Amino acid sequence: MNTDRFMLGVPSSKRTVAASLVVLAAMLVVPFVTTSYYTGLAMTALVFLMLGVSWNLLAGYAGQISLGHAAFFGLGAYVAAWLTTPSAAGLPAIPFPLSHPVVALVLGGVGAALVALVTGPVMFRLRGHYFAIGTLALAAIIRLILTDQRSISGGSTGYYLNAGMGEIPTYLLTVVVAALATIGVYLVVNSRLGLGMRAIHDDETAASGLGVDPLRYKMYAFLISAFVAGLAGAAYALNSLYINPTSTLAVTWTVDTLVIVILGGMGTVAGPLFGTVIFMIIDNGLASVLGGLATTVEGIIIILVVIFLPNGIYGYLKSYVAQRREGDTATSS
Amino acid sequence: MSLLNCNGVTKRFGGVVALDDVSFEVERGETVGLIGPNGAGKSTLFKVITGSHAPTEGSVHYDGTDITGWSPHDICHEGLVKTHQIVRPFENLSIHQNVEVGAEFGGRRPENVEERAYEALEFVGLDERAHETPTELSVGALKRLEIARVLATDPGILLFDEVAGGLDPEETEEIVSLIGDIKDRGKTVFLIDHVMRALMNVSERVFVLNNGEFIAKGTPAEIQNDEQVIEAYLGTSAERDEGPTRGEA
Repeated sequence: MNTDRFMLGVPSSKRTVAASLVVLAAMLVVPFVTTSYYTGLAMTALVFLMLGVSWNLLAGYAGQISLGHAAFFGLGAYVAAWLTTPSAAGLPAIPFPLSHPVVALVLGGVGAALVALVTGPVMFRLRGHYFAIGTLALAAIIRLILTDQRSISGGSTGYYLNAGMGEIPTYLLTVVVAALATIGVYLVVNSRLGLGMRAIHDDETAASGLGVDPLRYKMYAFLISAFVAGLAGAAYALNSLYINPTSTLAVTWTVDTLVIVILGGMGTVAGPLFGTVIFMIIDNGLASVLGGLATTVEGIIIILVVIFLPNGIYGYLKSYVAQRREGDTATSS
Repeated sequence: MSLLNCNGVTKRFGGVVALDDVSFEVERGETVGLIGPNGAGKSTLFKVITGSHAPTEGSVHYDGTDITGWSPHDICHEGLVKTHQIVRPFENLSIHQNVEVGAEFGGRRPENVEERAYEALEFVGLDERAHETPTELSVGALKRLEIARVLATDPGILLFDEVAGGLDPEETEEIVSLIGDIKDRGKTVFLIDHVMRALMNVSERVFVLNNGEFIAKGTPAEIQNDEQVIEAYLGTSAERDEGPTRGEA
């Protein structure tokens, strides 16, 4: 009885752990064995992975569809920019530990989580589609404020970071942070917190009647999700060294994140991982083969996945493997 | 002091009066049945008691505490739980996890969650299917899962909203015997059911609700012979001679 308390939908075998370690090791050696172009692609993939993990926790596990993740991403990016390069925003010099890129990255996540903490109780007065629209509006407001406040955001000219960590250290830091974020979310969904979130996802009324406080568990999901999205934004800013409110807080970040999680499989830990890989291949591979038609084909692929593999690629693989196993035991017994 | 006490509860939805000045008490350890025609306000009363609806007027006390207007999860922590008329399993959780939600979040001190969830499953006879998902269960088994989930919260009083509704006679029999077992554990039970024979057998007292008002309270025997009840609920005596023992479902 003790073995699989929270196991449903969660990979747990030694094989999975081994595969994860191989992927992690491969990611760590990318900058040393490939060109800067591929390191850049891997960097983008890591940023999307964190966004996917973040959105998946809130939407896939707690059932709250956010269309405002670009705001948390952008806030993380700006907090990292302000801390590492305060002079560009006319801020006084930030003392050493806070201005260090690693600290700035973590605080980027904290900044996004703080905004989630303040706005969450208001947002969660909305339910379902209305919550989604509310978060979309929230993101639009945050983007407008930053666009308007040229002195702190750089306005349409943008904001140049002077983080000075170098490409490879920034990349390695991002690998570590993305791995920790993925593991962290994995632990959350397999804990008491995760059980509460998943109960709300399936039936909020029933969960509440069994003692789950819906607002509390939605807030936990929102805070952790915003934190990870903020980390992704900060990592992006520290790597690209240039951000601006129009593109860094653009809704395309949210849309790409949704596509990644939906392609991979919502409500599964491995879903965002699979989704990121597929998305990167489609997004970059198609562009080099098809040129201008790439986005159209990408859209068609997404529509086909949603229609024929509603549980995503990973969801499909999982049920396929489960069916085969069932078949095996049926024939062997 | 009674365990559950409703005093002058009125619930209006716009201009519709679903409950009109309803007052009653349920004693500790008692099993009380609630009957009445469709639309009488039975489910509304249960929802008011467990916090899904706030009453327009009146108060609900549980074990001396005023719980009027509390949220469902706070009321659950206090010891009142309800099963749903239409089953509401968590479809993406295993059967065991479904019950764990109750064990983990339903009580004030979540201890031995796994074991308690497993015990509740054993109690309703679903322990061997603990690792399947609820989508594989029959309606009868889903009803038993509903019971296991609320039992796992270690409640003081259980409200069953048509827990035997829509079941075949064999499944109904299982549910009735489960309710008997729950009574034997010293739990207080308050139940709505359309299966009259079952309800009359397990209940010590029966309340009859019609158009949002109580028209009778008494022992099952008294209720079965109450002219007003017969007219409102069981039909006139001429109809009753041909009619089945089940109420109009």
